[in-house]
Amino acid sequence: MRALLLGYGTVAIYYVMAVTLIYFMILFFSYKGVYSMIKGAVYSRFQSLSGSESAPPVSLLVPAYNEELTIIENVKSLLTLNYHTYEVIVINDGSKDNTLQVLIDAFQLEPKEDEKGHQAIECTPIRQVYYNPAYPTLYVIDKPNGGKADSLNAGINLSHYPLISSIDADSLLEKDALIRMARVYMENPAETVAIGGNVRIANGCSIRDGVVTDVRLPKKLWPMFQTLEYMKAFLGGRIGWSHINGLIIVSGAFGMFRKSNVVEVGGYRDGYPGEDMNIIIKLHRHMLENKLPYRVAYCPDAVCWTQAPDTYRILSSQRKRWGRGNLKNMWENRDLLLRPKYKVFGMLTVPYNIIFETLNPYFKLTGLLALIGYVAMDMTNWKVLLVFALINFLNGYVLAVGSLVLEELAFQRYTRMRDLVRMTWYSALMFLGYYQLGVLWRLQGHIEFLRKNNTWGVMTRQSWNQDAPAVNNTPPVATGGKIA
Amino acid sequence: MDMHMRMASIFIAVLSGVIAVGLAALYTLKLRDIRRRRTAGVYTAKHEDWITYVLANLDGEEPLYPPPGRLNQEERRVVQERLIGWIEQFRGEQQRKLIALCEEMGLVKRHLQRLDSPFEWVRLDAAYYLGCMRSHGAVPGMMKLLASMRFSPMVFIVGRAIAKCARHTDELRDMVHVLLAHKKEAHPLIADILAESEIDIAAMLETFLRSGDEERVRLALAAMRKHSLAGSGDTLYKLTASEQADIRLKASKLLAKDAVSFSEGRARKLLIHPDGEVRALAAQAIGKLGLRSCLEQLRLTMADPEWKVRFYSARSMAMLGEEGFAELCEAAKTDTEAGAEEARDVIREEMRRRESASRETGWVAVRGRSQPAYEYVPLTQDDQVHA
Repeated sequence: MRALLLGYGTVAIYYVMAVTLIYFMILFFSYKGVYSMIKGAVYSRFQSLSGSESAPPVSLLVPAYNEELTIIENVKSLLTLNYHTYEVIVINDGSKDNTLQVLIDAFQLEPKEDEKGHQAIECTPIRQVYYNPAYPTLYVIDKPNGGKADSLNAGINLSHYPLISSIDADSLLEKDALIRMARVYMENPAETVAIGGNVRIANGCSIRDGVVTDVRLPKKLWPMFQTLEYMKAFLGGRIGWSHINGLIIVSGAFGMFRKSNVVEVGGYRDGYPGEDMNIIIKLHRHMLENKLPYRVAYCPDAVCWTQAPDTYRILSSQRKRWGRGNLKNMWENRDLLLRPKYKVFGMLTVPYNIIFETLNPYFKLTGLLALIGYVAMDMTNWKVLLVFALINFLNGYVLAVGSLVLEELAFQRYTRMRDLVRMTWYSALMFLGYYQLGVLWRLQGHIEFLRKNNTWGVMTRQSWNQDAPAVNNTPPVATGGKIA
Repeated sequence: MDMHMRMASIFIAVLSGVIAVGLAALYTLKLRDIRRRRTAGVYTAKHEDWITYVLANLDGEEPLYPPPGRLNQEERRVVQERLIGWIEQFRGEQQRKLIALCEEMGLVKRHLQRLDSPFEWVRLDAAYYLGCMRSHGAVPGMMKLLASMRFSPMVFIVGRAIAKCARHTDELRDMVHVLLAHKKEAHPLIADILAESEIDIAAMLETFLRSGDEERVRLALAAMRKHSLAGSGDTLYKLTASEQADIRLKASKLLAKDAVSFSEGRARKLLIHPDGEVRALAAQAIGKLGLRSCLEQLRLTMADPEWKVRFYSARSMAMLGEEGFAELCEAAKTDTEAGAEEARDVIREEMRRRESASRETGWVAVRGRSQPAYEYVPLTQDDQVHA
């Protein structure tokens, strides 16, 4: 037993060393990549570009399930983006509430017979397309419930433009988000197959007429932790991964894709959460197998604001769903692992995700058991345990600080000193329970996966008007919600 | 064990050091940001009168004068940002006066010096500002910078700066050559950059269009979306036969926009083009441009294997007056299943449209009881629709 524990300890040390090394490497690439991103954004004149015909036309796809509370405000906000040519396609995925009716009433929509939509991708047959020439850029599809991926596929079939952008119905896009993303596409249309946007937490911010007018940190604990978590993932992680073309996920809340490539890979996969990661994996696979030059880019200055779950119940449900989606995607795509044919994606991204994301809970759990074993068998002492805990904390904290520096260098969204103090303090506090809960939720997600749980879980919608009540929103098949 | 603990202690010390440096950098950045915002507010307030003076005198004949007194670095930055904002906002004489003011204040000279900096980021920054200030003298330096750069978003920043400053077509041509050499198919963006130039680029686009070089042709086609070229119809028509699908489609689109170039003969030939996308475009354009003489050909394309061609053919027929509508009705009766279905959809749609239009004018479209075709009858007083 002692030998086993010692052996485990050795493996664990190498595991920690490897994960630390990769984290630092990605953070380094984030710093390297952010320079041209900042300068490109600062020196670009988005105001003139947004009115330019040169900007490629974009179809915004907005899957909606039981979104009656927020849909009108969000669609109105989407209809007033600073962009030359775009259309908004709302896909009502068999909502049980009045989502469709409130849309019809608010925009005086009527059935549009000539929009049959070319069936480029398989999806549930749609019931009707609604339209009003007074809002020439708005289309509403009504279809039976089929899930988020199915809704996106229906939207793709109806879309009229070469670029598609998926947006969650409960998210708000900044007015220049689309043009910022389009700029990234226009710089290299030959290779760009997808671009990820930056998702930020709107809890605590002031919102007026669908626009975030005053950026503030959330007051509640759960959204505060998520704000820091998103910052770390989007700035400290995704900029770096995109720099080496190893990005494995473009947030379902806001991403842009070249439609032709999405159609080539058969559109979004249906059946369970994790469709945003799945589509990116499929695109990587398709481009690499066909030896086509490509990149999955990331645009951190294209911002989408979303509401973070603010209760334990909803947050845990969301995280379990992510855990399920991650495990399923990794299991289905295990053939990519360590195959030189798949370049950075196969040699680094997938191994990293399997070993340090999917299997992370098992290392954490066995690590805890091993620690108990060391103490029980008198193989350690409090000093060693303290050192171990300290290294663990410092390792994580250095990455959190690194992300905060990136935020401060490039974006400075939180302008007050008080905000920075809170962020540095809460970044440390996250180690006392929040990260551990994350491991637990992921593990529970894996259990749900093994039990073939295919539901979306609990989700509530809160109006952007903070005084309005929240509504429960548990779809029969996965639709809506947000995935970072 | 001691050795391991010593190693761990060193690791902890290093990590703590990195965190301390990171936190110091973080708070320094925040303090700097807060200070910058404060000083920007202070200096804006200090120069409020001068700002009012500049805006009030943009249209006057007198040259504009710099702000009074000696400006410190931060003050100069605040004033410069104001001026750059206005330069990008205004055009013509107002813009020229503001640019002259930048020269008077020594901003152009300062950035020209920075353009020789050994650091690329300084040169990039200088190129951006010199571009905004339309400094023609900076073009050679910016070209040198552009040629030395590896591909990144920054090359377009420098390219745009050159386009703003260029006074000769050759300068633009050189810039375009470098940008196209990166082979990223960024033609729309380069076209947008060219549109920033004050030079007449028509002749250059004409040569690109005729060059036979696919990259240049693509760029010319992208630029022509904004900048139409008189007399380019023949070249565009030739390009509809290009081996490259994107080129023939873009050429067809541009051709179809121009009523003069999109003659009936060309429309007929494009309707039998081997590329379905081109046929669909031609079918669509015939309706938009009202080419009634192509009606017979449109009737034939209702049996096209491509749904898009049938779709636009049917819609175009509906747009070609009663004659077109009658042909559409005929197609609904006699065509192959797909064509007839398309025709029926358009008829239904057209009836609805006419019905809704007639509500305002007092006329309504109804289906004749004894006739297979459709006709107009006057609306009854109680506004009932006869069916």
